[in-house]
Amino acid sequence: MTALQERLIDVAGVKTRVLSGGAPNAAATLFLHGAIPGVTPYCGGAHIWGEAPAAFLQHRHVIMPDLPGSGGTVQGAEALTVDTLGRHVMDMLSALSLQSVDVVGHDLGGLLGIWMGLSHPARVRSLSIIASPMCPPTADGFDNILLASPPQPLWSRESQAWALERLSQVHTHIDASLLDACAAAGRGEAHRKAVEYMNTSYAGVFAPSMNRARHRLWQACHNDGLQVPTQIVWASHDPATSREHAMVLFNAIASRQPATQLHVVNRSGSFPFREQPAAFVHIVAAFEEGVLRETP
Amino acid sequence: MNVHTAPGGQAVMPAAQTIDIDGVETIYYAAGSGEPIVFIYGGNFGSAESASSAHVWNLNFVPLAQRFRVISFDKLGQGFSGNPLRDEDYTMAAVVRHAAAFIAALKLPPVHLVGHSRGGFAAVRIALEYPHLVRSVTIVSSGTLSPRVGTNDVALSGCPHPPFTRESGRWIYQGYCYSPASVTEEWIDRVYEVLQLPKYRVSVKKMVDEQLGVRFFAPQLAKQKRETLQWLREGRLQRPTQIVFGRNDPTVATEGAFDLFEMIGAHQRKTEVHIFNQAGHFSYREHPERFNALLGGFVDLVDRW
Repeated sequence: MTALQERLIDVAGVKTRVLSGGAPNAAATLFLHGAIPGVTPYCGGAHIWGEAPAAFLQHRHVIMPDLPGSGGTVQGAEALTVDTLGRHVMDMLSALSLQSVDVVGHDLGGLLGIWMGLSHPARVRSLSIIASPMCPPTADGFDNILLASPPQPLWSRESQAWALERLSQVHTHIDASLLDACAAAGRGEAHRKAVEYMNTSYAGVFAPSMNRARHRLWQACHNDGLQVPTQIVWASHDPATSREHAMVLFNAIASRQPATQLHVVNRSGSFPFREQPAAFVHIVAAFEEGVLRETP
Repeated sequence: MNVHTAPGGQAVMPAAQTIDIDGVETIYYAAGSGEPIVFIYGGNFGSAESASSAHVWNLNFVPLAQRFRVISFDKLGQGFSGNPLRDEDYTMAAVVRHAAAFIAALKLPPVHLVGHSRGGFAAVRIALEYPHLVRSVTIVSSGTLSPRVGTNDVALSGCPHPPFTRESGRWIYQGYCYSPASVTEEWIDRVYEVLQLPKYRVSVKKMVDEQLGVRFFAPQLAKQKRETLQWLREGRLQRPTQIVFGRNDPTVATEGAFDLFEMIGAHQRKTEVHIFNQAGHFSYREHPERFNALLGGFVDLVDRW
């Protein structure tokens, strides 16, 4: 077993920051962080996962990238969309010689996990979608006022602290190391470029790509379904998405995918892996283990 | 190791053991070492078409015995254990007293209770009334505990087969399950064994012919259910709890799992709720690999939560 180590790998021309470690020959778990780069008022990146992934190092090979537009990974020449992010992740797995992985996706990372499961089901052993308001249907919802008035300047340490607290039930996980990492990400080139890009392309390019990814899922649920064992992990007090949203997503996927499970973590907001890390580790590890044992 | 998997993958329970609990001969199975897990199955004495026994947990008991001390026992009047000694003990309260006395008699450290259906209700009552015996509670698909409308009567009425037959047992359990194929002949063998026991026929006579079901069991359970839900709302359940329901259970609405989660979780941080797809009333038999991973992981979690 090795501790998490940072490296930069070339993924189709994009220098990608990846943390990896654990048992090198064991099954791999891929952690995909959330937050829409340049839009969400806190900066996503591998740093968001906190201590939880370390619990997987003993029995698993752990991979945690900064997705393009976040943390230490500057986006390439391609437009940033759910599709290009999904393709980037697949290329990264190939660059790491990983045939298949268990995917754990938070927030936008959950939608990327669905994209991967729909596009490359053979390469996703299981999918855990963690507190992801992007995945359930959004038609004719309310305007979202949760993060409507962030303190300025945006993406400063103080502004991000505000956003993280607005999204959380338990505030104590918002510690100096998280805020330092978020603030550093906010000063980085990846974030700066993402802000520039999203200023002109969020409404016309990125948001439609999220709609497309969801529509692919609903279509699949009328046909062959999502061909990947899927667990939906929601939180009891997530101000960004409700249990009813989780049920709709669960029922849609469960209509075609036999191995679908739904789990609610108690006393948590949008970051169950930080707010209730022990419960989070248990539920993800149990699903991965159960799916592995069930596989002939 | 005194449990094994027979050729063909059948999980075989170890030899039965016997213990006297307040004058009632009580049958149980025990294996493995580690944190103690006690399984409490569902149903009640006096059902003529189906019958539960400790064997219903074999797909969980046998694999989990590799890591834990696992115990499955026959409740008062069910399986191979003796019937209630007095008519007025044909009640859930007597079942709970007997179960708690059995657990106490094992002289184990506080146990992880896993109760299914009526057994989920019993597990919660034990945790409420005898908290010193209990380390955690897992409630599996319990309509008895759920505040929602129970639909057993709708889903399982009109069995087309005569009572006390393999066919009636198979029909009832297939009605409970998502996949009829999950009701194996090996399961039905165990059901039929119990249905044939003379003492079991006595319990049916008592509950149905002598009307102990309507005179004692049902009204007492209704009273205890009101009290139990009130106690849950008050925060009296003070042990880590997970609630596991099946999405396709024809007898218990999934929403009931969330009702219980909110009642218990409001007072107890260590509360979880989990729903299995393509699972009826018996998720632990329909998806044993994933159920066992969930349960084993929960027991580990309780230690470091």
